Amino acid sequence: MSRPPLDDARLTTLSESVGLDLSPERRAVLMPALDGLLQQFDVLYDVEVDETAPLHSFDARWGDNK
Amino acid sequence: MNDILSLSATELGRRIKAGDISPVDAVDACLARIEATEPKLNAYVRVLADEARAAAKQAEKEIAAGQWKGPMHGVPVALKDLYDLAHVPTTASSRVRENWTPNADSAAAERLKAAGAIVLGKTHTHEFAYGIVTPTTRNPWDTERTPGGSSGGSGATVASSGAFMAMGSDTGGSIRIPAGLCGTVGLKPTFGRVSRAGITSLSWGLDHAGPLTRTVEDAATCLQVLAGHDPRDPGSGDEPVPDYSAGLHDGIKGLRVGVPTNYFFDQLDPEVEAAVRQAYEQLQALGAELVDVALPMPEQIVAVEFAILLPEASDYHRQMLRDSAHLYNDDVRVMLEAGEFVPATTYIRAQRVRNLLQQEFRKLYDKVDVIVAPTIAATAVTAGTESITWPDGSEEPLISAYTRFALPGNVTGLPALSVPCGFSSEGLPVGFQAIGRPFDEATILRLGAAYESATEWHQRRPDI
Repeated sequence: MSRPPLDDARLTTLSESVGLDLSPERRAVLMPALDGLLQQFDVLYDVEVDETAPLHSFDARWGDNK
Repeated sequence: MNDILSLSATELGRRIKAGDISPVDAVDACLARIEATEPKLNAYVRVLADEARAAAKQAEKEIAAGQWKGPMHGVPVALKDLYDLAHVPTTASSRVRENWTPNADSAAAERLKAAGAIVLGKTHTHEFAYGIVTPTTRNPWDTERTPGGSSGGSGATVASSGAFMAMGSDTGGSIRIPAGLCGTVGLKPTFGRVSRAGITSLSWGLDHAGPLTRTVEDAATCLQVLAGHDPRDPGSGDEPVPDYSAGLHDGIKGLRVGVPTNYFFDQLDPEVEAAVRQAYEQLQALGAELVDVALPMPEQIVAVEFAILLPEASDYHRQMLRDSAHLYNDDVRVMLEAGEFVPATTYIRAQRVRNLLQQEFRKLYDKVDVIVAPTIAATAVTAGTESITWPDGSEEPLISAYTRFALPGNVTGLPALSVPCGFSSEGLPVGFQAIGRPFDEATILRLGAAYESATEWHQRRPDI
């Protein structure tokens, strides 16, 4: 999976979409860190997951039955 | 140092029950020790001296009146400052939370107090548990060095005899890392074994609560108090709680111990590797059968951890980040900002891969009863160090070097016990971790107790 490096325009779009104001100083710190993390996640797509469901802690039982 | 402080928590509990030692004397010994070491360690956010003394007097009266509450009655303990204690601020070692005071106890505090334990104070954490060095605090074996984190204050105070046990939390190694670096025992129980109700969350899907102690027996004693279902924690399991003291000293003859052939020995300090290899020999001498095992899906473990941790932490902090971003430390702030941009599909993919990892680990345990591996790839670094240079010249960020070996336990939720197993040539502690089947803390505790009975590493104390 190839991912283009994060640039200022993409980070602007992303930050606006979540309503997080980022100063130029914050962008400079965040951009390489975020880029590195997102690239690290690419290995998750190297795995064949087929019909595997996600694990989560949701429990449909009510109150006293939990 | 006061003789009382050389005892384990369990032995202190026995002597208190027998009337040989007063809880008041035990608390006074701890408070004096804390006062003497805090200028060098800064392990505590807050020491509750008056409250602890009052609780000790009450415990003394109760025991004298025949109202003994159990093995922890009168034993002085500390809580990581993520654990709520009613009417005492829970700061999470952050300026963001310095004025927040809960009205109720966390489940762990409630259980410890009900068992008669006496809370001495709240220990420092890496800010909001989001890091592995606890920059406020130093390591009692060398005060120029980090105690690790995030439960660094708990590791430092248990190792320096300021408290007989202390609670930690472990999302990516935060109990086992300070335990390993400070030379204490650290128990990350199975996900769901110990309630997290009333603990400031880092990641609901990965957070575990557990104790740092001086001995394996102490970890068993604490777990007995802490374990059990709690409907207030959606991750809490309702598996029966066994008697952890039963069989603790039965030995490990015939136990199949998995020795990883990959992942854990790919890149680490040679002195750490040598200590852990010696521990395997000791376990074999005690009757264990060593079995080579290959860790499944090693390339995915770190990605699963961080693809779950980042968005969960960022959602917990969403409003605080918008209201008080300037109050966070830089290292935590950048991770919280980054977590806002992890796609929902990546988060879900990580949860699906986590499911596969769990299934693959399950197969592994057809061949073994427990896996033993180094707790951490390196020993305690000088405070402020941000990366480690390995003997082959490669460099690795400290957060990766310190968390790498812990993460299999977090993403699988399997119980993991860190036990001291040696010292480096610089006099710094080394530990191994025993990783067991789900809700089978009894087996890893039995392995730890057997190893401890044959070695003396846990008896060493830092000269501070």
